[in-house]
Amino acid sequence: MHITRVYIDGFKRLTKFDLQLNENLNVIVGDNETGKTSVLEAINLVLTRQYDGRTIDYALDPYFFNSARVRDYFATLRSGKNAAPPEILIEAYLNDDSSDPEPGKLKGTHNHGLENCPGLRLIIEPNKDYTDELKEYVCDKANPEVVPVEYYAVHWQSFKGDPIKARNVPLKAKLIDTSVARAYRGPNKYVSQLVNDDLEPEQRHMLSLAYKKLRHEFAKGEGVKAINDALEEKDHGGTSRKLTVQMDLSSRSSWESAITPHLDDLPFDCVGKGEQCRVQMRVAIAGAEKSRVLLIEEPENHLSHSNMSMLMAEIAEQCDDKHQVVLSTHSAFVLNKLGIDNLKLISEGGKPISLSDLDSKTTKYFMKLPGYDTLRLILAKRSILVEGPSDELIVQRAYRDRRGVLPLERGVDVISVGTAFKRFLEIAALLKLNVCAVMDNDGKVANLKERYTAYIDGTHETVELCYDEDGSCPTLEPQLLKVNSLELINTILDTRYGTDERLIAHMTDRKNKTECALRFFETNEVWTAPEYILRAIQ
Amino acid sequence: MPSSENKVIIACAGSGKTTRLVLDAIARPDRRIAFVTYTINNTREIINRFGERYGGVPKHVDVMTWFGFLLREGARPYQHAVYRGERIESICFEKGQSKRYIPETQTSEYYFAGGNQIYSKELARFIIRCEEASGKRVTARLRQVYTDVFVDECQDLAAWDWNFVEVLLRSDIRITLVGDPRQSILSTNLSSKNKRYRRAGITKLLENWEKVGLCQIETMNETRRCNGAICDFVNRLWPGMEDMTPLKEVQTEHDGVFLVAPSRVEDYIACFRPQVLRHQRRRNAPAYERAGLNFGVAKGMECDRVLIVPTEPIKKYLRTGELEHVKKGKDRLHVAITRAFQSVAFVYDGPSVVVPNRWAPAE
Repeated sequence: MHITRVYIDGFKRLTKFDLQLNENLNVIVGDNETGKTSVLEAINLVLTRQYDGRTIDYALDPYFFNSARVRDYFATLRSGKNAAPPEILIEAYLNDDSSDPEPGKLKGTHNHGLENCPGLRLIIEPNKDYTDELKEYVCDKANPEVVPVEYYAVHWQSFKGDPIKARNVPLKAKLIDTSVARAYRGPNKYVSQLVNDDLEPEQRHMLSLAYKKLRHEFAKGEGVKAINDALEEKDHGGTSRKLTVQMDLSSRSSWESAITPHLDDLPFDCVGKGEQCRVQMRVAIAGAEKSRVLLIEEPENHLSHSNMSMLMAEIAEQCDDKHQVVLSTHSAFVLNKLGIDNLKLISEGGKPISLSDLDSKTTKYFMKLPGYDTLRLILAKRSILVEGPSDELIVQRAYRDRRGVLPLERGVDVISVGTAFKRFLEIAALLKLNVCAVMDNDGKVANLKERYTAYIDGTHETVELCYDEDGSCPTLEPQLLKVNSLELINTILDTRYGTDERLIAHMTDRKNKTECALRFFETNEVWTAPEYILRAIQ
Repeated sequence: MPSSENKVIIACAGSGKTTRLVLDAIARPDRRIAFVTYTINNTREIINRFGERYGGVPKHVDVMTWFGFLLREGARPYQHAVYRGERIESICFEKGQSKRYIPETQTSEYYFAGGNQIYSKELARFIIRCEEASGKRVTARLRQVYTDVFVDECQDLAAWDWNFVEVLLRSDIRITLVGDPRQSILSTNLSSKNKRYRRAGITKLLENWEKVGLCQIETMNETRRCNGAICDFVNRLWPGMEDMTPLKEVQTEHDGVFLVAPSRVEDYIACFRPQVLRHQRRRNAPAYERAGLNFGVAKGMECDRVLIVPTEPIKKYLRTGELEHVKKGKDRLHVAITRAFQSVAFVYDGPSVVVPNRWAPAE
């Protein structure tokens, strides 16, 4: 079983957030503060009722509520009007199969769209018993503008409408913890996690029994006996009672605190973080009776490049029909490694977008890219696509001359794409990214127009093509010469060519091409950028 | 498509019907069974039987009460097809006909108290509407989860419940109904609908269903509880229904049906220690009667001997043998009598056409 869709409303910055999920792998990409982490938290919440290792009922925090809605609510009530209190709704839609009874047990129309589907939902809403108290609290201007969570109740239900018990959830969520900051919560964190999340009840009983037996044996051991005999002979300040040492037999589950997992004989906590993540994942997947949803948050944050590389390989290998992975990342490396077709983009205030409708050739192209270009394109406020490094340098300098700062400082990224314009433009069109492509006309303006019709005729509003209509100046260098004097360029390049042809021959020579552009970029002389480039930086 | 394996078992008291259902369920681990019975006490009884026979309730069986079944498996999942108000939280058990003047089309007022409590007597009707309005999603989902629905103590169903049973019979879920129409004391709801099917009239309804191929009727008339004399007394109450017959007879010093004079009751109790059964608690009743149980409460239990404190109509019946006197309380009387293995005695000292034996202490 797997999640086909999550709907989140009113949780942190997510409102009416509707995300379709793939059966296997999902990579969530978004700028900082767009709610990537919240999506993972929400999925974990609706599948486990847990937040940060605790039942949400006890971990309920005012900042879970969407702050804009909370502000509106307080403002409305304090202006003397009524308004519905902020609520949180998280829904997980599961795949159905009429030959399988399990989804049937969770099926019904108890979801926001009244859809007939198996699923789970978590609702955090005001407890009706406290309607008046809540209102009174909010209206009293002496109180801080913070949701009084004491008046709230958590409901965990299936789409069938019944309350859920954790053991009836057919899909287990597992948050793979890659962070160091969160990791330290006592030495038994991994044990309790292992025990609670990963072991089946019979396995737990076996461990518990083995431990009991061991404790029993302890007191009978030769050394311990000798010590206890010696203790008995000592005088204990006049009391006639017998003093011995024994294992603590009082607590029933204390075995959890006495054992710790080892990896190749190293205690788990001493093992590198990347290794830990992989082990956690392995354990979660191995022998799991129920399907798992693995939630992995920004693995690049705490893992070295090679560790991450191994983790990614593990993920790609392990996630199959039974296991679904939802991973958030900033890293184009991760994204490219795991397949761009699994990408779910979250933009601020916008809808999540999936790339799975991309042309499969384009997908393959990006999967081969080792670099960060995909993500740069996706995350930049605006991108200017250029063919190569010399175009890039000219654009950078022209931008700075015009605006006083380099493009990146304004969130504008200049990306060299070689001859892959079309593939980048396809992504840009799909994701409605603000993109401008700066192109040479190569002396064949008609060809270019034909090739890029869809991007010229205004079909894709966010995509702009900048090229020069003058076929006699086919590339960057003649274009530069067209708007700057021979003399000026000779000064910039520290050359002394007498004719245009010879200068262009020099500039376009493969040996000099980038060097020339660099000089244009660095020079103190004032030069003019070609008109089509100026258009791109408007 | 109705399942050709739909079954109705009309079983007499002490026939071992519940045990049979439990064994049937255990024998079919390949199926997924909703085991529905009437009261919470009944479900406990069934869970105990599974404990005795299997060591617990098997994984493929879910035991639930009729109302739990109606609410969770019937009304809630597709409530929105009919009612888009609040989630149905619980059931409102209310006697009488208080809502009669509200038209059914006013869904919220007609079916619900406080917007989220559904009236018990309208619950089955609500489900039928959900089934119709949702394009049969109710039974489709039920079929996805369960291959079989067993309904024990089906004589206790009433009114719209039977219409919902018919919906189930017409679906492709296998339905097994088991009950004793002679014992229908409780009724799941009190609506006027289907009144003609209440009580022993259920038999008619079931026979009609068999005729149109919705189910097959089986009878279990052998009792392992009551002896011959008790069976004879019971059969006299139900002319036209198949006779109960004893499976085996165990002889004791005091077997059959007797009359005991009020003055002799203390002696009788001292001698045989019978379970005292009464219609209901009365003021100023003698101590032995106060220590007894109501007929209705005794349902489902069994004991060697019972001593019945008869109501006025029962006394009339004992005197004249005319059934019209007990037309109303016959099912309760039936339950009281059929608790006993060995003997049934009535506190009564008048003349009697029905019971010739009078008990007197041996001198």
